[in-house]
Amino acid sequence: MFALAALPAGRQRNAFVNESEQFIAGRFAMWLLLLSLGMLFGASLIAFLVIRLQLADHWPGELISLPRGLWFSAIIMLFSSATIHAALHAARCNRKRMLVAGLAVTFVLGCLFLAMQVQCWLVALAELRNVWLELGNNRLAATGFYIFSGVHGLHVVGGLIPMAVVTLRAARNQYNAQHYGGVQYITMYWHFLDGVWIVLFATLLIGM
Amino acid sequence: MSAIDTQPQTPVVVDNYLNHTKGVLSWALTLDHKRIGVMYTISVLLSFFLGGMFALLVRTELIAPGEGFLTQDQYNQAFSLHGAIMVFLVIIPSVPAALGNFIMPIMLGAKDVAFPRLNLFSYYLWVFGAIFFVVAMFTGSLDTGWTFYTPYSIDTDSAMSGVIPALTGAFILGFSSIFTGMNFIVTIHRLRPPGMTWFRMPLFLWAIYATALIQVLATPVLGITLLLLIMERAFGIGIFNPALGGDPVLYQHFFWFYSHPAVYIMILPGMGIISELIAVHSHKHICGYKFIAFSSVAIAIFGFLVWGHHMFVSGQSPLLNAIFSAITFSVSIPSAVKMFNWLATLYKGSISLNTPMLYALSFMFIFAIGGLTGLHLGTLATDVHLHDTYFVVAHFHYVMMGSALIAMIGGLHHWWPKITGKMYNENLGRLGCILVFVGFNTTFLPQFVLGSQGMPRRYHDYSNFLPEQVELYATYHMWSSIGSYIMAVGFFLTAGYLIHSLFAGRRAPANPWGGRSLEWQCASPPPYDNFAVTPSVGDCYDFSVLEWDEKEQGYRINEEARRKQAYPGEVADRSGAEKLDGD
Ligand code: HEM
Ligand SMILES: [Cu+2]
Repeated sequence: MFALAALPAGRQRNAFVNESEQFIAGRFAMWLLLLSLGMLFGASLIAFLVIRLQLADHWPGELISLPRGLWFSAIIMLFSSATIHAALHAARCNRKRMLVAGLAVTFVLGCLFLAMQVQCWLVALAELRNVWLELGNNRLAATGFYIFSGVHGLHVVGGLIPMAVVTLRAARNQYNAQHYGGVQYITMYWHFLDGVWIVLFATLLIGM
Repeated sequence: MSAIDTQPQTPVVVDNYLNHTKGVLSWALTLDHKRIGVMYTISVLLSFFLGGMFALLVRTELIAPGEGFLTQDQYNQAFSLHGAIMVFLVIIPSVPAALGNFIMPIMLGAKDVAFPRLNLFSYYLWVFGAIFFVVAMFTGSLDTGWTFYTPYSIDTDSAMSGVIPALTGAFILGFSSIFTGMNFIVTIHRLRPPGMTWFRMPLFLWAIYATALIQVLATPVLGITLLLLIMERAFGIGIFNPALGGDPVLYQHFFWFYSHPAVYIMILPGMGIISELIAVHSHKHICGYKFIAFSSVAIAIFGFLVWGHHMFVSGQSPLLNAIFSAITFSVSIPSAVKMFNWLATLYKGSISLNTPMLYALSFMFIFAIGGLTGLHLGTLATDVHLHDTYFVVAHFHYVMMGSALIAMIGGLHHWWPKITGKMYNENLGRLGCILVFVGFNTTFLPQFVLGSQGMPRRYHDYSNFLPEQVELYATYHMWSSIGSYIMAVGFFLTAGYLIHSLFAGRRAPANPWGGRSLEWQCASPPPYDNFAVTPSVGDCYDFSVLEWDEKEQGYRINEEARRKQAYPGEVADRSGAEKLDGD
């Protein structure tokens, strides 16, 4: 959906009577998208839990530990939720500088989060080398973290691209208190990613 | 444009969506839902051709017992590609994305869908997904069946390079479907014209709406399932592969959690089309409007609760089996509600036996068989015997091809004059429909017998059974293959006269059949912005206000009659509607 931002912006075909109608529709669509993605993450959670419970008797929990860095990335994610909310608030009150700053900081935090996740991947990988053979057929104990952070990370990438576009537009002064659809939608999406990661991380903490 | 106001009937608009702009790019980058709908229609029909060719290969292999002209491996690939193409590239997008895109906004009197760009993006996702299927075709060895069951799909010996491209393709197509669904839900919520309450919407829109709900809620589960399967195959993550601690039955649960609701993604829009066809071509008010509307939503909801009926013999617990079996019966109630209401609509209607109506009647006949045989499969005790036999093959072809696809073809004929501005040859149309109907039943009716006599599905050769079985199977398989050739002739004939009509067809009037919903109030083909003046919304199944216009060779609304029948407070003239033309 976000790649649409790349289509020539000048060409419009708008079925709405006015801009506020369009805003309401856009927000509604974003809720639907989040509902849909919620099903996606929910299903991956269930898949993990089902296999985890099936393997409960011989789960090699002691062999694997979650990288410490995950705590750090979770904090970054939480913090970025706050900064993007500040940006949204700024848009609503027409504080343009604050808007651009909020978006830019969130974008940087998003990149930092990803970098941190990658770092955790490498740490986990190093550890994994040593225990791989002992794992036997309990692969999920090692791969669960990769599955969750990978699928989530893809969605973060999918959020950073439109966030960059929105930030640029904000810098070019294209939003104001009456017109801030892009900021609204990306904020909703970002909060969602934040919430999802907290749930996935908690599941990993408990499940491992 | 002001001349329009003085003429109640639709004016002859020279400018239409087909000639509004020219050039390949003006199509490839169009944001116009009509052009996107046309591109989808063409793409879907091409895929149907491709899938059909694989079907003919399969049927020809089975025409007689013994090693035919396909090897076992080739046979496995032929039916897998046939199934995957037909399901993911043809039936799922055929009605919502192709016809729905074209018709829905016009039925709403709107200028376009809520998010035209997203709409175009969905189309390109479809194309992208289709490319992966073509890749899978050439890399070969997609031999898992369309269901991609584990462990076939993760077993490196039997399934080589075609599996990952096909999974990726289906994954991408899933997102195309989700975005289309989102777009349609928002469109129906937010772009209904003033005066069109939920219960004044054409039933087609109710069906599209219910479908879109399933698309948004069920498809992501397929998405993650396919993604996990790709990872399982590529890296061995231990979710579905029992050798690594995974659970293949979990895959089946996930797959059917999507794919059972998906059968309603396929059939609901078809049912919506049939509601329109039956009412319009028997020129009679639809019976039980609310029943039909609510049954669509009920099907969408119940559809989420019955997936386990595909897994009665997978080893799931007897308690689950019993529960799924019981709930399965509940899904058939709303389907039956629709059938009875259509029958009641036909009763004492003045039925025109034209091509769309013939397709609608075919649908009713075939869906009755398809739905009722579903009950045999939903019954635990009988399904243990029938599972994975030709009985299942016959059942799902009765519902997917005989019902969903026939409805799509019927709808294509119904809206052909609107889409292309040309009339097709009615007699050839009837002949095509009869050939398809006869061919279809000749192909698939014998398969019920085959299945109940124990012929398993997905077998490339049946010469190793007991002699009397082989003899029996050979006869029925031969008839089945002959039927498929008859059907092929029917479809080629249909393609032929439809294409011919583009060049030599009579110019279509705005309202050739006497339809009342809004799309019949705009010119054929519609202008770029659909309506110069947003049309008035009336009871879209009240045909009493239509009269035949000899000069136009079509129907028009008698304004005086319409005023008498108008809803209280119905917007009679839409002054101020010009504001809508933003362009
Ligand atoms: C009217 C209510 C329906 C009932 C009660 C029903 C019931 C069933 C059951 C129990 C099965 C599993 C059989 C087995 O594998 O042993 C089945 C298979 C199937 N049904 Fe239906 N069905 C209904 C309608 C539909 C519709 C409307 C469609 C599609 C448009 C459909 C498509 C399929 C397909 C594709 C399969 C086979 C899947 C496979 O194994 O490849 N069904 N049906
Ligand atoms: Cu089912």
